[in-house]
Amino acid sequence: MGIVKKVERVEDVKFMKGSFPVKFAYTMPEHHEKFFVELKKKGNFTGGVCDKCGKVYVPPVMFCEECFVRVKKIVKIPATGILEAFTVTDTNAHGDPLPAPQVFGLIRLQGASTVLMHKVLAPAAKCKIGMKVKARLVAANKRKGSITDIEGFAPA
Amino acid sequence: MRRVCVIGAGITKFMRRAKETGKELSFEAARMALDSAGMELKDIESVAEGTAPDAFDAMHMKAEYLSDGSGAFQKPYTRSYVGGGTGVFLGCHGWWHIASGMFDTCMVIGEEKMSSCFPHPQAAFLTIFDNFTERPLGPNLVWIFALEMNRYMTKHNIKKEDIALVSVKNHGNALDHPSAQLGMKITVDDVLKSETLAYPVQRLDISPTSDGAAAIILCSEEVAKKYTDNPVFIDGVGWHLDTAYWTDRDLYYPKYVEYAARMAYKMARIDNPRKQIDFAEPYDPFDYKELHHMEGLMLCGKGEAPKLTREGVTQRDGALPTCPSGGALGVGNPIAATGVMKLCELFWQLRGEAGRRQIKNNPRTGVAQAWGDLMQVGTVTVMRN
Amino acid sequence: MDWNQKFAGTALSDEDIKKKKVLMEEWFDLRLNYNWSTGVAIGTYLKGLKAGKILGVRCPKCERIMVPPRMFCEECFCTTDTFVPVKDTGTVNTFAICYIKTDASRQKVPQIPAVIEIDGATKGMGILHLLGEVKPEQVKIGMKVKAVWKPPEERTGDITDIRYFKPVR
Repeated sequence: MGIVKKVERVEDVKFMKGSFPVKFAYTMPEHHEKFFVELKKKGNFTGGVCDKCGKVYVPPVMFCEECFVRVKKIVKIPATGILEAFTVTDTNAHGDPLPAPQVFGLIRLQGASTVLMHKVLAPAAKCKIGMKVKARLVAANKRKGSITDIEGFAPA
Repeated sequence: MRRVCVIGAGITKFMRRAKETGKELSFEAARMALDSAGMELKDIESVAEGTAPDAFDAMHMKAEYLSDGSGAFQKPYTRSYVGGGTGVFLGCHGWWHIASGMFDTCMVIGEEKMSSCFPHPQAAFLTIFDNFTERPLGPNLVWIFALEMNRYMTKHNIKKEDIALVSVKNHGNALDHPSAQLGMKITVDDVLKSETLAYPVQRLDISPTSDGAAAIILCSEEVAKKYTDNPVFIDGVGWHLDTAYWTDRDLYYPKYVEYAARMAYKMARIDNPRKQIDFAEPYDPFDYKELHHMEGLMLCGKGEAPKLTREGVTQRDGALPTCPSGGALGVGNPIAATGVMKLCELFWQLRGEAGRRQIKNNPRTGVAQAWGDLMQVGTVTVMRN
Repeated sequence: MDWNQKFAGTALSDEDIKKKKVLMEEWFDLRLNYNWSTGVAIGTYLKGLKAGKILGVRCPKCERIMVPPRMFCEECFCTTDTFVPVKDTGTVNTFAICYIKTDASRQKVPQIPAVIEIDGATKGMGILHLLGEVKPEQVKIGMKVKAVWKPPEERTGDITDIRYFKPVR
């Protein structure tokens, strides 16, 4: 005898609404915080270099995941790089339509081993994998110390 | 099945709010464990990790997010979660890796970062209640503990004063633990005068919310010989779950802890726990829970744990030291990491390396236990030197 | 084991957060809304509440009468679909007197949650609800209570169709 029953009337199906009443705020570890403070105050990018394998993490990290040692050396990273991949979306994170299609891409800044995901400030038709891009930052007095201090990456 | 050894342990400070993210906390615990064993990451073949559900701190695929800090870069990696029972369950979860013969080494690590949740991590626990029959009543997590504590106290006619002794003991023991969040000297009076949150639960009856991580390293006997001549053995593991219909159960006694203990004791050839176990680290998110769990672990009869506490049996210099670390009450309670903190304590005590917390009666056998979910899960790990 | 070594972790205080001494990334736009279908057992239970009745279900194998009702007995692991009305009176199995809300903020007037063993169901079968019309210091485990219902026109088919349980003199 199974328990899957056919519903004869729609009114018999009862629903209950609910939500999750919490908010979140994340603290940053030291290296991350220094990266965003440097970006906010001076508009510069930095990376962390693993002494063992030479991998350059942008933003810098506390430890190299491969070598499992602390990453101590910090280097300056130029604001230019290569567009490694991109995609276009018509909706925002909640599924609401955007006023215009938005391109997102993976950008490898010069000298970095890791890629950054961010907005590409060009229509999809003008984007090409491998093209040079440069970061455009939000006006200095409007920066908060967040990834959104970068407005996006424009063709260089 | 092969015998499983523990050869290293690591732990971060437990704090109300850490600057570091979960990744970094995991790395610090894992790195310390590796250093203590004299190992490098390449010596680790598998990782068994535990952390609370993603919604807790809104980090989706949390195990994957924590994997690099857990030392799982390009390794076989699994995650388990059974509420507060996770930490000690990780002893079982890691044990499978080695005992089965599938791996010679395993990093066992528990991590929790509760502080990202606002206004208070407790609000995230709202979803533990049934969405139809309980949530509309506006419950909060402390209700279930208060209801269980009241039932336990009333059934056995236990006074608050006796329960408060556990809080005094554990906060005091924690003064000797460098990771401790709430090591402090308090009196029974302090506990009884502290704010009533939900009668009979008062503020000093409860462990804090915490951020932190802890790790141990497991390996086969053969591998252990290369690193140490003083390994600790995991001789018994047990886990058990009771019904989610918690209102249909009599909460005065945790049957599920007893069943988990029986499973672990059978494996460890323990048939007289009170005589054959030298010290215990039962889970103590609330002070009455230490007593509740001591009875479930069959370290004494039902309703007898308060008497043992009153008589000083559970003090560090007593006949059955209980929570010599300071427990969740004193050290802190980062949900999935607390139990691993207890496994670390068993390791250090059995090696004679527990510093100022060292039990003097040359302990041979220790038991760690944790509990979780809707008063449901019992997890037990027995270690010997 | 060197207990004098530095243990990792940088503790932050509430003040560090309030005074923005550290950089934080806030994520307050969490739109997690749910619409759960109640299923047959709870759907029937809630319909019963709307009609002013508490319903249980009988297991054909172990013959337990279970409340809240469920579509399978978790012990016998077989289907249970015989709904049985039980009484709206019961006994307090345990209770708490709660001065904090879900978000840990304080409330002056406490709520009194309780597990109430329902008469007519198998002994030990209880539900979580609130007690009312009683002073906290007068509540006792073993006390007999009765449901206080909302008037029929206010009921919606929810556990709160019962306002609370009050002592029966």
